[in-house]
Amino acid sequence: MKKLLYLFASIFVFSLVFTSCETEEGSFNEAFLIGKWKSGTLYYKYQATGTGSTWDTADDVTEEEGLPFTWTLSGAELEHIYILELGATVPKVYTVTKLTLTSLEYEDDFGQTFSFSKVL
Amino acid sequence: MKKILKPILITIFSLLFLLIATVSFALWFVFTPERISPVIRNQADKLLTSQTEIGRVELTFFSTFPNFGLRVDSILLINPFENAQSDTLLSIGRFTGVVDMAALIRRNEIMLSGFKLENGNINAFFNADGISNLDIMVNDTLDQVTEQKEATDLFVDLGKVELKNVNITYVDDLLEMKGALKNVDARITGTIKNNDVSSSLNLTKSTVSFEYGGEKYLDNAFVIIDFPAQVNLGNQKINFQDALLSINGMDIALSGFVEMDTMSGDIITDLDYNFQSWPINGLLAMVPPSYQSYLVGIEVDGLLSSMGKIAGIYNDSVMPLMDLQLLFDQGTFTYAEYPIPLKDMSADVKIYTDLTNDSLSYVTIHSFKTQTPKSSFATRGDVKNLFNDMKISLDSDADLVLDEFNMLIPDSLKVIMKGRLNGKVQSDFAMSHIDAMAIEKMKLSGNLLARNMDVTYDSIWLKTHNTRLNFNLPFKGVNNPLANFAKSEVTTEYLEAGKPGDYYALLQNAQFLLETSDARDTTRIPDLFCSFSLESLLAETDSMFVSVLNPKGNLTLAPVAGRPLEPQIHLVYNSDELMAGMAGDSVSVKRLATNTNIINDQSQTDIFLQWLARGFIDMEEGVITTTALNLPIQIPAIKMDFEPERLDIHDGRMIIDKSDFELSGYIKNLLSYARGDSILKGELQFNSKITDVMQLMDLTSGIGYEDSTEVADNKMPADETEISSPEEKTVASDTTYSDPYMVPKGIDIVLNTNVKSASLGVDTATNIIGALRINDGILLLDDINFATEAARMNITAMYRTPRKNHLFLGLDYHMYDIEIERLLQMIPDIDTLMPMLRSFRGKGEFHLAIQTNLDSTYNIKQSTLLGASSITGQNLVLMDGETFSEIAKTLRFSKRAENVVDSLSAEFTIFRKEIDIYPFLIVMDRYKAIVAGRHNFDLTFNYHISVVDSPLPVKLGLDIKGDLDDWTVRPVMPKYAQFYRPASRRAVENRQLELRRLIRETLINRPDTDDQIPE
Repeated sequence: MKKLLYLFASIFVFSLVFTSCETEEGSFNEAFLIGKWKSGTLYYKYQATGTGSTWDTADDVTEEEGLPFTWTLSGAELEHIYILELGATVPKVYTVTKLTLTSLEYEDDFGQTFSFSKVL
Repeated sequence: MKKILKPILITIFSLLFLLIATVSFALWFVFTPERISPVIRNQADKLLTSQTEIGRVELTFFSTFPNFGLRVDSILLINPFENAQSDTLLSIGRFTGVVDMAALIRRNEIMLSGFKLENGNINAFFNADGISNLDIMVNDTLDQVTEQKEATDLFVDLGKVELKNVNITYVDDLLEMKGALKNVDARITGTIKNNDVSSSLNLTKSTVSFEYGGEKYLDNAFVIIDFPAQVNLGNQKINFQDALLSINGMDIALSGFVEMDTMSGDIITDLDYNFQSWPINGLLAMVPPSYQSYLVGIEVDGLLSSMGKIAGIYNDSVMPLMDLQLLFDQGTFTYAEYPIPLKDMSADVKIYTDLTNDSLSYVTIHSFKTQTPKSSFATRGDVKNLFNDMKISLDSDADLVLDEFNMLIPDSLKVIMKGRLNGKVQSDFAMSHIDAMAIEKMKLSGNLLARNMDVTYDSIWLKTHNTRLNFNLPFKGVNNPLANFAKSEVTTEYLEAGKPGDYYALLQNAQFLLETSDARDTTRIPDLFCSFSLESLLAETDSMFVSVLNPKGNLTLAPVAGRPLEPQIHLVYNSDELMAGMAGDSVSVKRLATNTNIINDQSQTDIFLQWLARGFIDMEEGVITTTALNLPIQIPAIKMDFEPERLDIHDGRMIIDKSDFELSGYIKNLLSYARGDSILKGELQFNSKITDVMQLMDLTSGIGYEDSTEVADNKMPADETEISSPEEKTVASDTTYSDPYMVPKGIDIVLNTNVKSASLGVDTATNIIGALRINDGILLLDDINFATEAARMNITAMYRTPRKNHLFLGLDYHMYDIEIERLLQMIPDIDTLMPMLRSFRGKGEFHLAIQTNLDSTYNIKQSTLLGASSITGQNLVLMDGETFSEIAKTLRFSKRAENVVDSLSAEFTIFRKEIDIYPFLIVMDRYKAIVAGRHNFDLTFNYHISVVDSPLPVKLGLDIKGDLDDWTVRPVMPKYAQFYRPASRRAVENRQLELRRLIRETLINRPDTDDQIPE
């Protein structure tokens, strides 16, 4: 029984510790996100107003012609919401894994990762 | 009786015998030449100062019966003068004088009551001082005679003076005149009673020569004179009746008087004259040599007759009034420089003039006619104001064979004329009008008829037949009161003209009426009215042609009020079949009618804006063929009103291949659009039984576009230079791309469609009802309902073309009762977007909102692809047996279970290459499962299935990963609990409806003054 109690106690303590560490690691400075990011020919631009756009110059698309979206960064969850011109929305949710002044990395629920560098 | 007569006759003959015997005795024994000759010579010496030689003188009776005569065999008077033509004044072969026997017997004086000169010469001479060799009389003698005559009433009987075969010469150095009469046979009689002289000159045979100032005016002209005259010396008046003067056979009869007013010095005349049939060549023969040069090359003949009256005063300032009638007949004329001979010339002209006053003077041409070998010309009229500004009024007829006149045209002009031109011309003008080309002051009218006319100018030719031209100038405008300058009417059976290899025109049975104001007034546009009616018109150039049957109408031209140099035009036109073509494009119309007002505004720079038109067009059965289109456009009918800002189409029907359109409605802001002030707006009802959408798009593609390079350049971000990756593409010029459909710019047109059947490629839609809007580069299909073989559909679509290589397409599909298999056939791209649909067969309901940008070849730019979709279905059949079998095996389906999906309700989103399938419930056999996952455009997938209700005792999940060739199914813990309902369910549709309404409001509820739609 004691062994069982130790086991539960250990699990509880471990859980607390583990939970605490996960929270601190999943928070990122939103200010780092503002700006233009690039991955190959793919660009993302985040503005402080919560809007942004993305374009791929390989498709002969300019920044002005980029797809607009709204974004929120809550903890590590980065949500892009695209609004179609004729209506409907397309949400995309990612989990940020790295956000620094020059580097951005995130992944989606299907394990696909994305890595960007800041365009200075 | 006989008894009485016999003694009388015996007495008479006895007396005659006695008389003859007495006279014979006197002549032969008393008045012998030896006695008379000295007497005569003594008398001559007393009376004459010149050297005199008088031959044998004898008295005659029988040759001068019933008077005694004095015959001198020869008389010679010599009076030498320097420069005289001869020293001899008089040389007479025989002189016979009638002797006054009473004077001879009573006073022993030989007085002559008449004389006759035969076979002699008389040479009269006046030197430069006016002194004559005729002055040979002794002055005392003359004075005595004069004194005697003045003392008593004067009566002188000149008796009879005869000249026979006498030559007379006359030289006057003072007056520079020379004259000569040869072979003169003349008789002169006369009496003088106080101041009255009665005389008669009868010159029956003579030739005359006359020279004045060194100019020879007559040279041996044959002269006949019969000149009876009554002269009053006191009044210095000569009166004559029926006088006859003939020179070279040209007779002139004279009657009347000539009087010298001794007080004023005026000469008063009242003469009637008359001559008949003077040959013109005879007159010309008398033209002095120095003037003959003017006649070189001229041959003219004819007969000139005249009669008239010359009456009135002649002095330095006044001329007598002449009333002359000239008749010319049988005239011919040839001139070396004018190679067309004239013949049958005739004229009847009246001249009434005092040679001074225009108010009195005029010429009336009763007729003037002439002919060439093939042509004829005639005129009549009058000429007034002869001496200052001659006013001419003529009424002329001409019948001209044009071939004759080619020789008048210089070869350098390369003009050849054939055919016939005849007609009448009335003219009334002054010479000053001609000098100043003041046509507006002239009166010209006439009608001309051209038949078989063929004119060639260099390589340009014109042929016409039965072409009539009527013209009037000036003319009081009937159809346009201000078009009062000239009127002309042209009718032609046919008229054709052309230049080989350049152009050709043909008019048949044409009529034109033209009324115009003075078009030479360069300060204003002329007022003009023109009506026309043709049976046919054909015009061709090397690059275009036009052919019209029965064009009729009228055209009115006038200056715009307040803008005299800018025209306004009113055109009423209708015609039957019209065909026109240029550079491979052609138009044909079976009937065309229009009533158009066009106003010019030269303050505009754009030619389109300079001509503003309003009116209507009514056209039937038109066909337009253009190289820009593969198929002709048939136009069964168009009826529309138009004005600068607006087009109202009452009936506009078109057929292109199998497509037909019926348009009605309006288009406005035409002028503003052209000026660039506004976009073109309109709303049209678009009805069609069959519409080929692709053809319609081809028709309207690219209107209002320029190369977007500049636009793109302007839109370049400031930090564009930062994009320097080698794999990046820059925006290229539009010309480097193919030609996608470019939505017209600058227009806002709404087509309220009602299309029974529309084909789009291989697809066909029926009963399409809804609005299609084209707004400044945006094409919007707004809530269009239609049916296809696969489904009933509702679609809202936006197609935007900011530049050729960056097109935008947004679709909002709602399909009901859709056969999924047919849907994939109808819209193959659906299979790309949702490849899992290939696994199902059956009917469902499909909603799709998707947008993407396309390149110029309509390839999707995947980086711009966004979409959301919802699909529901009942009793769908799962088609993929291998997949089904694997799943069924893993989930332990009943072996009796069919691959039928009882119900399906799912949502998808599309983002670039990713298709995310939101969790949805699928019911199959005894199972209910939640399915979610991702499908990629590279055909890899990652699905999870949570079985939420099954006969199995445990909850089970499956992860399915891989691609269609290599995938795995792995049992896992289920992610979703029973009755899971994804939060996003139906949200897509709700947002679509909400945002679509937002789009509509931003498109439709915009102010007229700002019709630009933000891109």
